[in-house]
Amino acid sequence: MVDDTIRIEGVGKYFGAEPNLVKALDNVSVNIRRNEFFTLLGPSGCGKTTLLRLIAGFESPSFGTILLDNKDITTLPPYQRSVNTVFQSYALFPHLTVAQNISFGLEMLNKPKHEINQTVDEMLALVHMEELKDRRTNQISGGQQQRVALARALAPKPDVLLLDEPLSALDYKLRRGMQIELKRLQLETGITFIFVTHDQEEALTMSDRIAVMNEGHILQVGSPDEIYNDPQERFVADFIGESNFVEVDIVGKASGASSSGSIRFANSKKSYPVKIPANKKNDKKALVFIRPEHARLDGKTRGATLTGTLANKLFFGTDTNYHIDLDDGSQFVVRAQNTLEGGFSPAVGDKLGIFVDENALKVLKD
Amino acid sequence: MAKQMTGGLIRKKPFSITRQHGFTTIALICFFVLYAPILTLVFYSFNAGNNLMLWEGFSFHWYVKAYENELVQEAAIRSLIIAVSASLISTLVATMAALGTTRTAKFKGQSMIFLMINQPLMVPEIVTAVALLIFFAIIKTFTGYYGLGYLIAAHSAFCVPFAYLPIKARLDGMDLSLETAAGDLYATPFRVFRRVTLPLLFPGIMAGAMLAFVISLDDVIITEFVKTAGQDTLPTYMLGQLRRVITPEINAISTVLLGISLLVVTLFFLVSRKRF
Amino acid sequence: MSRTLSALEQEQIRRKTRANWLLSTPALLLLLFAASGPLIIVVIYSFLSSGNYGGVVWEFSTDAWFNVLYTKDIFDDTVSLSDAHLSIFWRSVQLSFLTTVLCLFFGFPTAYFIATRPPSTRNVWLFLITIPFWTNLLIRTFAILELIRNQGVINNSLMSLGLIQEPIRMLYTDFAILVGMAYVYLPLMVLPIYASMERFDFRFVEAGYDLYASRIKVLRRIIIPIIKPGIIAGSILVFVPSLGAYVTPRVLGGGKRLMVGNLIELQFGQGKNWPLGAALAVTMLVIVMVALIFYVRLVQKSERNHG
Repeated sequence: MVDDTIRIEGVGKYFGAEPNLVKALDNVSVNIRRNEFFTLLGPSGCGKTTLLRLIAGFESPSFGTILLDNKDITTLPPYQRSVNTVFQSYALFPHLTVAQNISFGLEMLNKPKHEINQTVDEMLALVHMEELKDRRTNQISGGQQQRVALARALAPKPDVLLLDEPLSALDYKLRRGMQIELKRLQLETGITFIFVTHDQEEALTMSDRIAVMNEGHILQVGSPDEIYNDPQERFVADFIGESNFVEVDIVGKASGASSSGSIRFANSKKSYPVKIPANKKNDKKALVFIRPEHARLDGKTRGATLTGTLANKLFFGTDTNYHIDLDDGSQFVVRAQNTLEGGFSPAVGDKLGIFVDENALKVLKD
Repeated sequence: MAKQMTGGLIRKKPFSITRQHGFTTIALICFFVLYAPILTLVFYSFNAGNNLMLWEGFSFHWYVKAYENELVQEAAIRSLIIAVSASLISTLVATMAALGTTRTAKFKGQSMIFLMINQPLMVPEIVTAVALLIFFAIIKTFTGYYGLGYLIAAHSAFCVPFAYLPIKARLDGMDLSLETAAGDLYATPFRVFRRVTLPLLFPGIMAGAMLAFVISLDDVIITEFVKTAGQDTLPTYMLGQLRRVITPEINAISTVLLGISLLVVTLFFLVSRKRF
Repeated sequence: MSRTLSALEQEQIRRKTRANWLLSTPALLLLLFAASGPLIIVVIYSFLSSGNYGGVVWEFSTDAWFNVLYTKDIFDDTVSLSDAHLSIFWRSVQLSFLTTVLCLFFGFPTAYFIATRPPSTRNVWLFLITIPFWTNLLIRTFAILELIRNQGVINNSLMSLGLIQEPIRMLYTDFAILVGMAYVYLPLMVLPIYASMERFDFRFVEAGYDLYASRIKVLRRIIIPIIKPGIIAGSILVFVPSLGAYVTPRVLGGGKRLMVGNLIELQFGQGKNWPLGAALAVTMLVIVMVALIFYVRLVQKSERNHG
């Protein structure tokens, strides 16, 4: 059995009242394993921060139960939960020094003086801030404030560390550095990290598992690879990376419990064997999703999965995106890696064929 | 290059986006008009002669005279007692009220509390003064108490909004996540208040107390109506002197009061700008 | 589906509301005792009979309210409109209005001037305008008194320059009251306008010039409409205390040129007609409240317009 630190069971959070009722979180259930780097990913307003605040205890759920190590903590105030938060704005106490900020939680737990000093020194070393320990928090840079916020939240050695978009205020370079740093801290401390972000790239590079959220629901939970390559719903596919969506006819269906079937593109005779989701079994049409880098362009149109004319080329350094107007009027994007040799380089207005392998075709639930 | 800058080019004054014709002139006149009378008053307080218009040389004569005047001494002490008590009381209750009305979801009766607290700013002072005269006259006949308590109560009350405003402003500007963070780091609500809220709020409380002090020290109308005979404060003493021949003694007292106000207001400016 | 709060949420809200009220209670009690509560007694007093030597007799009477507007001839009991009271009310409104206009004329350019200073010196100018605001109103009135007296600095200077032969009589006139009130209330006009100006985005002005507006058009069509809330706030902040002014007209009007504030005081002093004084106070309060409601309406309207 998998060892869970946090169990969220049927939790919801509503704000306001009818008719202005806002369902920030609606009947969410998810288990978070011990020592994993778990990310809540979604657009702003999807409920990810609300879920984080419910786990921290800053707000109480309208219904549902939250368990920490199998103990019900739903009604416990934040100061009785072994859960610490790194705030988006860092929330460093401006009237205290760096070291005083880090020792705050330990003092509140009434730890003995020598233990506090020892832990503070450890934490300062962990985040490389020994030099600046007597500075006020407004006298250090944004990246340094970030480190202090981390050290402060880690110092009491909580069971779970909650991180609310902690990197969003940093510039790109610093953010990449902190991503590596965070991953290192998580491995070194062995604490469960719950990380909230709207940045899909950040989520994919750092997480052990990701929960994609939208409109108060968790749509899919899985490893970065699963989320990227095997999204179950259009929203997940659309939110993470670039995607093409094409409507297809379901032509062949296996009977019974088997999920295999086949699909056919419009104006094409060729059929492709694919997995058909259970809820699509009796439908005639389905939506297929294709990553731009999983399709290939060619000057010949014969035998192509789809055909169209090149409308635009966008150069991205490593890749080039080709925007193609399909014959039925919809748009399709193909990404090809750039090589020094040059290779196939069509011009705007060229008639092209798009080739897709059958294993790159995913039929979505909706 | 240098030639271009100094040389024969006749350049028009560069176009300024913010300029409006005559505004600077009016503004400078305004500042002059604001300060000229006060400075004249201060200037004549150092006049050696007993005359307000003829300058007879520099001297501290009128300051000494005012200092030796028993009535002035008593009024000054009374003014200080009232101003200190009123600023302490009003700051205490205003701090509590600010904590109760700021950074909270709308609750029943909130706008009523706002209205009550800001009432002294809306009702003309003369109306409040008359109301207190009547009300305290009733209480005086019932209790037989004629002490300074009435003045202190009245001053405390009209100082509340002045103490309240900077405290509320400070609270409004305070990052709510700081207290959330303290709670997250195992501080109980009381310790959150003691260790985070209060230290952060302190400059606002100081600013509120200073404003209340100045407002109380300067009050004329309410004091004039509420005081029992022989309870003059410095401002009402000065008002009473109007019926007599005005000597530079008044200027000397005024200058001292101005000095106190200036000092407190400067401190207020420094404190309320404090950002840790 | 109707929404019910969980018991936990409800309990939290209840507890928070109770704490908010408990925290506000001391302030409310203090204000009720020494500010708001007594106002109710004033209303009651305005319906009582006057005592012979001040105070009241506890008998219901509308005489005081009658006397606010009308006067009864002591010889033949004929009733006529009370010229004295009405003219004092009218003069108070006029003087307050003129004070407001005067303050606006000087205050608006001053606020504009401060707001357009570079940030380094802006606070100094702001501080300079704030100091008079926090210094004793009586002292500032005294300062004006000493300037405009017959033997004051102005008259003495003019005479020694030979411009006039004998002092111009300025003290104890409406002019003196007007100058005094404009002087003491000027910072109240500047500060709210400055608060609006400070947030004003001069890119609007750049856009205006870009679209061929002249300076005066930029002022009239862009700046003034946008900072209107500040102008309204400043005007009300000057108008209301002007209407209730007591110290300035007493010192500079010398008890001859009365305003409503002095008329009220008179009833509690020499007049010994407390009910009439109470009725006059209530009348003033009503006028001020009407002005404040008018102000709130204006602000709401301009907020709606700017969405």
